Amino acid sequence: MRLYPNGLGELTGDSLVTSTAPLYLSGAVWWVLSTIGIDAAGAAGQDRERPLATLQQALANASDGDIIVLRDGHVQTVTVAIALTKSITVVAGGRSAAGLPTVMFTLNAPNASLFTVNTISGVELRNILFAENQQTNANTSGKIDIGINAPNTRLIGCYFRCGAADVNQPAVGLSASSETGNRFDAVTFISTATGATRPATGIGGSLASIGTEIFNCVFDDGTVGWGPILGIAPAACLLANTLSSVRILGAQLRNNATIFLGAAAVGYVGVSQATGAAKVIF
Amino acid sequence: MASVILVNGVGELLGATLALSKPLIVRAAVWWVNFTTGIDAASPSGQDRSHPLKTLSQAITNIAAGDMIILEDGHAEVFTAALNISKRCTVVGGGSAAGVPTVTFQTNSAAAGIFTLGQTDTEIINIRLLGAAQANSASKIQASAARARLRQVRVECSALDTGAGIEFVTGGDAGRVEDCTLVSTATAIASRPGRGLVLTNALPDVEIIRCTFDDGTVGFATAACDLSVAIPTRAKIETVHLLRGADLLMHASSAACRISLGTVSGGGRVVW
Repeated sequence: MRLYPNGLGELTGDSLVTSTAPLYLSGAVWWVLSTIGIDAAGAAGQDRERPLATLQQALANASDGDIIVLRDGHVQTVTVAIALTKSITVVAGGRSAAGLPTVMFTLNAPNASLFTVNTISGVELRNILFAENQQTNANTSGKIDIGINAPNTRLIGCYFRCGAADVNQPAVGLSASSETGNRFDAVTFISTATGATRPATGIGGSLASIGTEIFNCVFDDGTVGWGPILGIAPAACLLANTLSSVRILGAQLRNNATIFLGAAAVGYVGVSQATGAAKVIF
Repeated sequence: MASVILVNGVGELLGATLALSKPLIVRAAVWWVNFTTGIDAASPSGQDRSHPLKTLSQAITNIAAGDMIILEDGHAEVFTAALNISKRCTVVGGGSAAGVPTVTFQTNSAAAGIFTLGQTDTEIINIRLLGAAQANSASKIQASAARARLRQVRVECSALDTGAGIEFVTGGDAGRVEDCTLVSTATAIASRPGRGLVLTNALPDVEIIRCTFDDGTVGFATAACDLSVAIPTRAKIETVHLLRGADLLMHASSAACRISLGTVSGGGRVVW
């Protein structure tokens, strides 16, 4: 057991890193900051003053149950999908005056996800801004692809900006039929497109999942909204197939945003804010 | 199944966010229960708020998997046998007073708890479990199926409760206890309740988020939160409040686990 008497040292950002109360961990903490970090294998990165440069290196160094702290201002552009194959919490420090995460990932690839989560339980991504794709991406599994046997994945406080280059790719894709217990908490999905080409969707899934929870999330159509995928009308949240126990509560549907749930879904949708012609198709 | 749009929510004025959400769109049936005004009858009785059922047991009988049960503000039941929530459902209490749920359940049995959760994805929200009416060795809630969700549940453990408030046993993987309070209401050291929350078997992915463990006047015989009996894996305990000396015990071999503390008062301890 390790004790961090003053928390993990960030001044703003996710509560897990900003808490000044003691934090107890069975595993290790790894720090990453692109501007000053240096990648190295082994134990490198466990000292906040000597961070690693990339998340990939931190993932290579970490073990199941560890925490990776992306320090305030960390920025990465990714050209090859980062596979999350360990039960890791990736949590970012930093929050701008506008309330947005200051840690940002951008995908610059013609056909790839940014993160893939496969065959591992309990992965968490917290307080990270995912920017618009830099090039049109043919991948349809999702910028965050929650794939096979990846139950209990958590996205907390993340912010997805989706532009025209995200035309084929959901921000988050539930792409396997064995998903259970995935949760989205205070996550924002916004379309930043302004022309005829619109991003695919915020949360998208065409296969069955069980026990999906979407709490206090913001779905924002922005100026032109989202594009039709799966042969279904455009939606900021589009879960097309069977979903047992889908629970959506405190949803904010802005600028005409739509939640679409397939005909076989069972559960509930509570809306806390709706602007424009926001709608729920359920 | 058709969707139901509850334009004005489920009709409660206070209580859980779910009970207050307007509008609420539900792809499932909604059932109302009120012990004071309700009348038990077989399905489809209970789907009209003006004609609620009397007991949660009848509602469990009537529902289909995935349905929602609303316990109206003030609903109170005393059980002599534990109620097995045998279908996947959401049970939500309306009403709160001074931040405490006004829907209450109590056991009046020597060895029976209040709820057993044997179905995956069962959700219980905003209810209050009172101390036992007689000496009782059972756990008030025992979860043996995956993804049990307990939110805003207040569990009061008295001198008569030698079992646990909430217990996860084999099969209770990935349970989540959120915004719940577990408090000892005993007043004599010689007669303290056993535990607030316990993992009796080795389980993965249990989450305890923003919960309050309160020792009250004399505390618990073992601990307010006991994760030392079996080895948890990936237990995530966040912003947990340890009040008036409440203790949180972790198994020494706990793997991939973490605890972040909120408020700590008295001699609150983490023993790991």
